[in-house]
Amino acid sequence: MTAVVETAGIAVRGLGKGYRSSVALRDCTFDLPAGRVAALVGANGAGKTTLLTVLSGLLRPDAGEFTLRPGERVAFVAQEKPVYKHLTPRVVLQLAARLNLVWDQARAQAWLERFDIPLDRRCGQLSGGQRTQVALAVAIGSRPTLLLLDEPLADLDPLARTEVMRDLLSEVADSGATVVMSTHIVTELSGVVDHLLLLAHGTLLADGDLDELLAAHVMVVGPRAQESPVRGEVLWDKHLDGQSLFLVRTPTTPVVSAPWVVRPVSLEDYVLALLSATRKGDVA
Amino acid sequence: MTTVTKTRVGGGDLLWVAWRTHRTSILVTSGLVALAAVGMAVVSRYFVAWASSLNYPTYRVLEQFSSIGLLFALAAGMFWGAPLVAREYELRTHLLAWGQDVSASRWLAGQVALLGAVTACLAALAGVVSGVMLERVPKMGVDTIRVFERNVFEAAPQVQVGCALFAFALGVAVGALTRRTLPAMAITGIGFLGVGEVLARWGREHYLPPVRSFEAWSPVHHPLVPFTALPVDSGYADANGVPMGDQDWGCGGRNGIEPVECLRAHGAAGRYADYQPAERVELFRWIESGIFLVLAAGLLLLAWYWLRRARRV
Repeated sequence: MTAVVETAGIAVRGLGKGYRSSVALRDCTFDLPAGRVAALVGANGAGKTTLLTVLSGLLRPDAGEFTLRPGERVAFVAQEKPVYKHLTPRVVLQLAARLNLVWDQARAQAWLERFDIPLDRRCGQLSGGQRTQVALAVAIGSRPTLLLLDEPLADLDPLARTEVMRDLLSEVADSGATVVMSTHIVTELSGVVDHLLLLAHGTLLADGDLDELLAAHVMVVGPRAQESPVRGEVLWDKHLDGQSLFLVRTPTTPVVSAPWVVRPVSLEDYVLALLSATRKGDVA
Repeated sequence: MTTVTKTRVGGGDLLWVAWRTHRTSILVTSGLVALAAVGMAVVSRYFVAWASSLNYPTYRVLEQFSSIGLLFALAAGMFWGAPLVAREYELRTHLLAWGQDVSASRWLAGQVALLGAVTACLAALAGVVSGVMLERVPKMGVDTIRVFERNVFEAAPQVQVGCALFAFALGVAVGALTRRTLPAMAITGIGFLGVGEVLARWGREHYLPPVRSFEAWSPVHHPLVPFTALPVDSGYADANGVPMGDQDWGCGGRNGIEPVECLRAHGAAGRYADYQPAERVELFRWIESGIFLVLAAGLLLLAWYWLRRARRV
């Protein structure tokens, strides 16, 4: 529990959504404090897109409900980064200006100029990465207080990824907005996000403040062994030729005797461990 | 601050969005229809002069020309209606359009209002022009036209507008349900032609109770139905003029002509015929237009409801 009282940004209760042949989201419950930058992480098909689309208001859930801050302005950038291919970025921004209650033309246009996106070339002639920038500009121009991004970095080159992440957060997060960003590329999230939502097969595996989550776990590494020398719930283990690794949930940093070593858990360790544990089988 | 804030996305904004996304298509189509209208007017003018010198019932050709309005209705359904929602789904742009501060149903209202209005105007133009063309027909030596025949009945603005709006609405609804442009276009085309055919063949004659004419047996046959009217039913009637139904009395007879004595013996006092007189054609056109408009409204409501359900994106 956090000691600091934070305003609830999103409160999700028992959210569920199924399609004809599959369940996309099952009994999801979590609270995301306002102003957080949350990573929504999970394997392909884990329900990330469904959760974001429900939160955006475009999809009605089958079960459960969610509440946003009163007066929350939501912007959603879908995975496909859709823009009208027969229109130019300039016109796409004009459409967005008409369709939004709040619009900051200078901000949206500045975003496109910063990334050298031609304003008067049809979107169909732009590259995937450039179209992503147009979709992002629409979201930024509407000055959201809740920004939902579905795989925002997928079509961008490595350099642009870093720049987009940095600029996006300074544009949006610094204004106190909440950001939820889905991805399956965990490595790029370190230092950017401060909250984690981990989904597998439509079920929420873990959620909470990133530092707290990571601090509550350790990676115990040592010679090949059947059991971890550290007390606590073993969330994941891996056994190599001469080595065993255990991811253990423990409230305090344990003391182990050599040759065992206790390492802090990185975001990548944590996510990969939890996801590979679910892949092996039991998600109830 | 460069931020612009408003309390509501107005109808004008929605219409502007519809206009800006469909501008090219609207301008090109309107140009083509206008061109076709002028072309038809010019052709019919010289055609009349040429055809009357030939003493040949070339009005048939003019009738075919007048079906251009139906072609336009078909195109409005297939190329404007069907892709309106289906293409948004296919290209995923609905996530952009409906992801702003406007609900999908209000967005749809704006799109339908603009394209529907353009469709209605162009259909009215097509209707007026085909009506004008057909009015030239009597001057071509044909005194009368069968106003209830296909392509003649429809050659009026109110029918064209009804038809075109129905086709458009059918396209919108089918597109919203199938979410696929090509299947939606195919279903819309077939559905529109099918409904038009059903109304023309089996519906039109029942819009109002028909007029009945009766003729007692007489050596000379007079036509019971005026040439220009729409025949509905005919047969034998008893002495009170009441139809006797389709009975086979076994009177024999050849070539469909049954001996009068035999028929008289079974109580048949003469022949009757039910028909819709040609004077009713304007009224019937309004009725048919009304039917199309009611169907169109129902289809648009269905599409609107379907989008609001938001069960799938």
